[in-house]
Amino acid sequence: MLFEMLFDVETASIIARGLAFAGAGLAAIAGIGPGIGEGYAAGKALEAISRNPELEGTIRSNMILGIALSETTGIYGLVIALLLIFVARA
Amino acid sequence: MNINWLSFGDMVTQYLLELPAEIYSSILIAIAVGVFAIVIGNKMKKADPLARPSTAVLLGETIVGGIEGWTMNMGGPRMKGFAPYFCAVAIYLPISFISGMLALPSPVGYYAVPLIFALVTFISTHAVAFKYQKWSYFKRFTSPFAVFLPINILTFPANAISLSFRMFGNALAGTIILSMVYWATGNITEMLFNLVGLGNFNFIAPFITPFLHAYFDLFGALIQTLVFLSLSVLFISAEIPSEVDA
Repeated sequence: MLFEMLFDVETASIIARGLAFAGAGLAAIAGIGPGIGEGYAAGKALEAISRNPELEGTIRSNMILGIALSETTGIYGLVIALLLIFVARA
Repeated sequence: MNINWLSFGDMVTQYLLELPAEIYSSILIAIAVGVFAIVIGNKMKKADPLARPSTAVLLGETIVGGIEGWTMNMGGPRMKGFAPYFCAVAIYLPISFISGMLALPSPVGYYAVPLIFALVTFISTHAVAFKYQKWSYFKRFTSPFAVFLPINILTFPANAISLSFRMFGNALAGTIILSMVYWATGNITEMLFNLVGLGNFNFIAPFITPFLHAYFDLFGALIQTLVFLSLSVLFISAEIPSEVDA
């Protein structure tokens, strides 16, 4: 009731849009996970190449496969952020 | 009293016009791939196995043989029956990702399409598990203890959702980032070129967007197809018992 007294409909919908953008920014924090995980995987791949340089092609393909799998949770966060920005209307 | 009577044809037309554009591009790509497959199939049936293969026969042999070999390599020899499904996915998915570059709306950008692919893999996995385990299939819900029943039920759709969301997220991210780049370069071009009178044509985009298209539409497409196929083969072949036990 206090909320209805303080804000009219237009102000409330502007506040809702602003909060949706803030939520999208929070959802982008999900990018930390793949960043750390893929960096670790690339480091291990480089170690493996230095130990065995003739397997470079196989190691690179398997690294790319593992990186694409680890990217999934980062993309979950991206899709939530995109949904909040473009699809959440009043 | 104004009653808006619509004929059946009007209702059908209204429904068809309100369908998202991705459905139509999906139908177009499916028809193109189907015609391609039927033509090559006919040529392979009539070809002489001992003569030198023509282009179409060689193409068919390479694609089908390659994917069957890869499937049986990763999943074991009993996966041969699933090779047609993986072949269809391997031809359809890259084309539908790349259609974002060809001015068609990418069908993978509509969540129903990757969801159907993930559901086919999911249903195949559980059908194979049921076929080989008969009624002990239901023991997976109460393992290791009976109190784990709610947790196991919640884990049930996790594989399908993550498979579908990976593809959908990659396609959606590419589409939205590229549309934002086109919009931004359009605004800049309008500001800069309105003095000359050519503000309506986007001159800056061809310098920036090819690299983005190459990463999101080409590289991302092939990687996501490979990941989807690898995971499908792994999920389905994990349910097939090894030949030592059977």
